[in-house]
Amino acid sequence: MIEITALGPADQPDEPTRLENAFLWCAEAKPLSPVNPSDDNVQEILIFKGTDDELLLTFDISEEDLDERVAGVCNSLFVESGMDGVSAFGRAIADTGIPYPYLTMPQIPQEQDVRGEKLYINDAASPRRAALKKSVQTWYDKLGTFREKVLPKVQVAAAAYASTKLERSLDETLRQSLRYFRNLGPRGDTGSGSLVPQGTALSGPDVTDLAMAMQRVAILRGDVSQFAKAVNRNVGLVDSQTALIGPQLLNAGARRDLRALLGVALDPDGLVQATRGLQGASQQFAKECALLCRVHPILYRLLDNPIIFKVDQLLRSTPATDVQQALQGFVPLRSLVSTTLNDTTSAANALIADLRAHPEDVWTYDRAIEGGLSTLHLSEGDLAWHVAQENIKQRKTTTLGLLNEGLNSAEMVAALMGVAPPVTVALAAIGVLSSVASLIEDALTEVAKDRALSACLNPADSLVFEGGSYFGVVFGALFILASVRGVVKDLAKAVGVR
Amino acid sequence: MTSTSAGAEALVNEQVAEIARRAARGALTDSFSITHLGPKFANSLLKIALASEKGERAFRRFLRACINFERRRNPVSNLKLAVRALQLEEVISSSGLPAKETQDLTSQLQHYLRTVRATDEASVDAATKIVKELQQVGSRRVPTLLPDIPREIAAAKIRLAFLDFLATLSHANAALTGVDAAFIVAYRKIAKVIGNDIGGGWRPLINKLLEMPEQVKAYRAEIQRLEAAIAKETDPAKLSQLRDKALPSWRRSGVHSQAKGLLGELFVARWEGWRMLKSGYEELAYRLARKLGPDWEVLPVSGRMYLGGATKETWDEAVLLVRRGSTPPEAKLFMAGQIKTALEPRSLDQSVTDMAREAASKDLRVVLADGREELFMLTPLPANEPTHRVVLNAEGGTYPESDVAALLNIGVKIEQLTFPVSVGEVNSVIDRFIQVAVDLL
Repeated sequence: MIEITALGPADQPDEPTRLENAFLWCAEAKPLSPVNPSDDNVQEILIFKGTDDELLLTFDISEEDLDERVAGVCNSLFVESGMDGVSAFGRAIADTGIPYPYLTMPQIPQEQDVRGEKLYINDAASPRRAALKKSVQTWYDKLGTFREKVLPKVQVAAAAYASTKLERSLDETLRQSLRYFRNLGPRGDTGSGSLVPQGTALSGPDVTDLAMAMQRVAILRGDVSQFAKAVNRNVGLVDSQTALIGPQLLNAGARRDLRALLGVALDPDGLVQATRGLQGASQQFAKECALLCRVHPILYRLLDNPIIFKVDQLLRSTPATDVQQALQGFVPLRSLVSTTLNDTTSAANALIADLRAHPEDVWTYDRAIEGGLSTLHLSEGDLAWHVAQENIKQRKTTTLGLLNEGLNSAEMVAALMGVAPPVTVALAAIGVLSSVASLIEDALTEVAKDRALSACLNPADSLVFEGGSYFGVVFGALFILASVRGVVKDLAKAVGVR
Repeated sequence: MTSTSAGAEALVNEQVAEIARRAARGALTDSFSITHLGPKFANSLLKIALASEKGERAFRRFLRACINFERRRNPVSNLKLAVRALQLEEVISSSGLPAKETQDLTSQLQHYLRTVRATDEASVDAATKIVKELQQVGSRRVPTLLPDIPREIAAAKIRLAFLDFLATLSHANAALTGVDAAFIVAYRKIAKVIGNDIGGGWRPLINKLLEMPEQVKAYRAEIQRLEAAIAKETDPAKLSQLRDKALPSWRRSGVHSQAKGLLGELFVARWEGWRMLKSGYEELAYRLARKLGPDWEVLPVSGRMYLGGATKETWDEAVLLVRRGSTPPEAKLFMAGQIKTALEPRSLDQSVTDMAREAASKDLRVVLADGREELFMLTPLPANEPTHRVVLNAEGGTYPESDVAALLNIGVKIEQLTFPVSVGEVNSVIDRFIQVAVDLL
């Protein structure tokens, strides 16, 4: 019987829900009703002129709360379009009507078609625009003060989040080691300096279950390969029998126009069945592996390893009564499991020490920051959230970043849906960004170099990825789909050499 | 790599994406609702979002504008929302969807904008007009799926009033009292899980209040009376009687306790901790289903389950094993969950009552997420597979372990879980919600 707690959520770090943090959530401008100014006091400002986002704003210069009103505008622009949005507002206020101010020849200012002052000349000559300019400056200054208060809070929360995660990883690794190695001390064998000392026999209560899970993975992979080969065969078949359909087929494939392809050219063909089979098998593979990995997290690290097939072989060639014995003496599995557990533990310990010595490094792990923001109950709608985002050192321009973007996108979809089916929706959202499989593979190559990833058995639990166990499952499934990718590559190779 | 192999690779890549897309679409079924963007609306929108990067961008920007509008409700966020909706409409109309679906989606989007910003009679008229159009477009739809306009507008107004109330508390110079600050903390905690207006997360709570306007008004009046009495009372004995007995007992009765229970259920159903755990139970149920035979399926349900013709709901959360092919259709209770948001939880009693009910009555009526109803005959699980029973308590409401142990003595094992929000926090949010809504009912 599986322990249900093994499938459940891990503890979250303590939530810093304290009243002293209330300022994080109370940074908005005062809510004000719309103004209807007279011609004497009106000033309209046109932002993002000529674009889809063109926006005409009306201000009453005599308004007592002008600073608050401008702050409201700035906050909205900041949250919608970042500092660029606020800068655009600033430029629109100080618009001199001269498009190329660096030219020496005289130019005729282009007047804005707005109520109030048409152009900004200087503070004395265009007092209304000057008043707005001053209000924007006030907002900038306030934001600066706010930022100084926010960043330390976020750093502390993010560091707490990161260390909770890493501690949890250590606990997890220890728990897993006790499942596969019976005779370990409470914290492993400290004498040898590693969690699982060299040469310890595989004698834990769950070794057989692990081996059987590996066998299941091997079988599922076999199914996927078989269907992939069938697709391959059928691609060849169509090509050789009908000279026209073959190239059309591959062209359509290159255009990613699979639906058209399947609907028109290939309906009567075996390819349809084979691709359906491949889809089905891949889906089954990802789904079953996701559960197996939840029960045996170490499998995440072994899915792609040839040991899977060796264990399958061993189980097939051993009578059921002798399996436990045979596994105990099976050196390749023993050394792989102990190495994986030991490496994970050392990586986690090293990272904990580093983050303790240099807490500011936490800003390089955007997921740790987002975890910290989340424990502070901040989200995309908040100013503090955006202020913190600006400070993240590693910008989301890498493939990994794209993948994270995909997860964010999925999060928004999840918000929209209320209760979202996590894995499928997230995968779908990621599917939008690029061709899924190569994206995942690139991302995995990237994270493979990241030591934060090696500090956890389940890559989804690492600091590299989304914090919650919820998206952890999503990433788990991605990780598994990447294994299907191996099959895809074989297929591509086979077609290439045909 | 040759172009041939690149073509084949692209083909398979596309297949992987297709798997995900189809699964996503299949998973999106829920009842129609348009004060918020209901899941049905989401389904069509998601199609657009998944069709191209342009669509995805338009969709994301629209969602961001919705969030910004909710939070700030100033001219910029208002205009931005309109602009983003317009851009999304453009993407919708150029998406190549069938004309009917395009028109349907556009009308729904417009209606959403109307109701989300509804403050006056003109909006009501406009919304009614749009719904008439919707009715024409979707005339073959089941009539019950069409929205009840006055109710949609009433719900939107309550939601907007609450957002306005939040805005007055969340500006930088607001002089927050301790109660206000505690409320904001509580709201933040709960809203993080329940989500915002777009997802319609708070709608069931608003619906609840709309269902019983008179009781809500009476409740509010009595609470105000008691609070005023407490403020005036000088006699310490009477004061403590009022504060410790009268006020809490009034709270426990009727409106407040119902709303509180509902908020607890909304929270748990969307809390990722429970979602993970429930999916764990589902996986275990699949294992058992495989053992039982090929025609057994797993059916996870939240809320709306009734035993033996009762009108009162039984379990709050359940994982059922069902066999639809048999006559009558059969169901086995694999996991039953009770959610309690009270300082003196009675969920264990509830679990015992449930068990008695399960034994006494075999007719199980389940209302599915899409509003369809299914009837099953409840049959026991195999002897060595007891039903998993879970009690989810709000913080501060945990049942003593001794009681759990006492139940274990009679062979009933109950798992206790605490969800990360306290009874006091739920109270605080409900109080404010009622305070804001009462004038609009």
